[in-house]
Amino acid sequence: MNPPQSLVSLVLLDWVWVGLFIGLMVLCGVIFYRLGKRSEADFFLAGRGLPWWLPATSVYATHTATDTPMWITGTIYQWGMRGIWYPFFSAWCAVSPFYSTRIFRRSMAMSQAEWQNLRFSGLGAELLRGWLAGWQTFMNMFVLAWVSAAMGKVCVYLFGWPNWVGVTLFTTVCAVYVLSAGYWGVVMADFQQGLISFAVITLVSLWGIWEAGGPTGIVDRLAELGESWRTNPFHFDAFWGLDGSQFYALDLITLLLMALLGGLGMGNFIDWYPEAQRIQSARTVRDAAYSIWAGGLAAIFRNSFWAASILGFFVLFPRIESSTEYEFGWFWMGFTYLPAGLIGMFFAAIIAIHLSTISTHLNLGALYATRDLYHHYVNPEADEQKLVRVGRINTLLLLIGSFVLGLSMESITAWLIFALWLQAAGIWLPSILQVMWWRFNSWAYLSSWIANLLMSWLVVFVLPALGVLPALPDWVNFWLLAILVSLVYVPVCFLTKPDDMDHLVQYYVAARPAGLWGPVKREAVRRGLVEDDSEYPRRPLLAREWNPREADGWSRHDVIAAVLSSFCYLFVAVGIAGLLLFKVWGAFCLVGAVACGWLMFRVIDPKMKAMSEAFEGTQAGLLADVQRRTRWENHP
Amino acid sequence: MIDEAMGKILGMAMAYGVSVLGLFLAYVNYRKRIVKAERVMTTTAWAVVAVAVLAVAGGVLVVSRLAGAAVETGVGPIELEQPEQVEIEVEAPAPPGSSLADAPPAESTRRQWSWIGIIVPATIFLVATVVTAALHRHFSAQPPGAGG
Repeated sequence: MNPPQSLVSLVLLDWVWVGLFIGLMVLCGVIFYRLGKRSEADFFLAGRGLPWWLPATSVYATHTATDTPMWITGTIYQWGMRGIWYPFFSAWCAVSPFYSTRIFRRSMAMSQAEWQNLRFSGLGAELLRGWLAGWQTFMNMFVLAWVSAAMGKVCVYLFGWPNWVGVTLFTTVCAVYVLSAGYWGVVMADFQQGLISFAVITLVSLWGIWEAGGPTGIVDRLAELGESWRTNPFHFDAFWGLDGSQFYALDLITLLLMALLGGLGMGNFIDWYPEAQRIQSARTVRDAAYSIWAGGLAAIFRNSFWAASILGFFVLFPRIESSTEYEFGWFWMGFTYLPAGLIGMFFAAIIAIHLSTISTHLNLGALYATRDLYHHYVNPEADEQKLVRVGRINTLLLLIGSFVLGLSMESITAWLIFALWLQAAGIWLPSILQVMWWRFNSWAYLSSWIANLLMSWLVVFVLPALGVLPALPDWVNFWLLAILVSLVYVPVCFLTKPDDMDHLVQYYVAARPAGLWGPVKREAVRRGLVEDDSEYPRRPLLAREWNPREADGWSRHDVIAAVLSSFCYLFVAVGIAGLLLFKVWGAFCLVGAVACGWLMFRVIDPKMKAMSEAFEGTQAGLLADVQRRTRWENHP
Repeated sequence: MIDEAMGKILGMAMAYGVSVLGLFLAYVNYRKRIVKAERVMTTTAWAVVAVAVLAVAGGVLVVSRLAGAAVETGVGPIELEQPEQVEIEVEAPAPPGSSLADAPPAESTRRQWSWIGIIVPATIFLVATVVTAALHRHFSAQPPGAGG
């Protein structure tokens, strides 16, 4: 490794702003100490009473990690504007608010592992909960190690600090408010960090575009270089092919399908797990849905700003071959062009995006370790104060574990982050089926996880090492793994019994899933637990008044909202970047985005309001059931 | 420092090891609390554990051998260093725009104080402070455990 060289030196004014912003972020978390210690639900879900805009900024802040600007800079520099589709996986947040978010919020599960226990029954459900709880506890520690290691690299690059300083310093600062106030501290600091980072990302990107010659200057320079295709987000090398260095139409189709259909499932992407926590912390079903929708959209918005400014960086340095060098392009623009004072705020924003990710994973890992492993398995009778204490101990253990991993085993964390993405392929469809299809049982889902372990090793490591398989492009890897894993879980599903009908009815009444749930719905109607919604009159598309019972059911309004929302996301992704380069199509896309967003809101909001009001009446009873189940009191 | 192949194996082994610990906890609790069994681990359960341990140990052995073989032969995705190429790149004159080192120093800009470097951060800082105080006041006044 090269000896560290300092790229930037801050002046006194910069350090003043860095110090003030860090102090404010920590203070913002710590002052919620009294609220965080009240109960397990306060320490991990802020009492389930937050308005939508708080978890929304937290969703955005969590989607933005220290390595995100480097990753997106790398993809845009390499692929041009079409690289914008790689981070478009966040678009699962376009569909999820109108399906899986609503179902998950209604289940009242504190974690995804707990949801498995509510959705499925018997030994299989318990095994799934134990498996996911262990996986999530450990994976959150790995993500912490990975993000801290990225911060270490940034500090080495920018200031020439020793690696361990960057790895440990800011993460330790963050632990102060996560330990004291739990999720209250996380979400309040995230709100502030989200706003600061959004403002600074916008400012630095605009500044970078200006310095690179402005929108027309960038486009002209790209034309001179013979690289005009870089401004086209739909530029494909061919419809399909097997060369990993090319970008095919099938790459885009796979990415869009993976993201948008993935919104129907739970657990398809690693982002689902932190967002599940935000969904449950929202005060109503409506707030939960809007928090995911707005947070995801803000991330797409941010990506477009980055994309336009990275094209500016490209015209300044069109021939950098080392990815480790061009990945720092966006950081370089900020630290090079901003004047004194703003550089300090820029560095404070980098720290903010680091802290928001760290705080989330510290609290989330502790949630799984406390709620699912300790509370459910080790000490079901523990009182609220004891659970908060254990939550803090688990937070501390995760922090220490992440330091050990981040400092000593960088190759492991690098591999695991890759493995996490890879595994999205094998469990992508099972994660959807478990939500949409009543017959998909716990053994099928568990077997898909285990099979995925084997298959992903075979496809990306063992078979290429043996020379049996060549290195395949991403879209082929995705579909190959999806098919191979399905060869295991489909037979397992049909060779094992369905879940217990009483349990399924209980889950259906609480969560009201849509899809292939006919037999369970008919049984619930027969028992008089839900009304038969097929007899309800057909509501107009822009209906303003909804009967709460009607709003509780599924209708074409939900489908239309999800479709409009997806188009809104697509138009924003393309439109913002296009407009920043003064492209006419960019303006048209933005108009389309606003129109789709407005229409979506008009179609779904009255229904959401009525549904949320109706659900609030039953929420306390459902929550008591969930608590009893965690304490093993009402198992069949 | 752990090499790449061993790092992959160790990382996955640790991740799945902790998940299996969760499985074990779930199984033991289910047997104790739902089945009310006197013997927590049945013969079948022990057999499953034994098969799983053997399978994992065998898998790790095979993969570590493969990884070693891949590194020795240069087969597969683990690429060996190519010093000749590096030397050629170092000797060739780099075209403009091929490195961040080509950029003119911006220290003069950076050292200058400007109003924008005070007003913009101060505005954001003040707004953030006021919002934080308002949020704290609002939520502290709410009753505990609204949904918890």
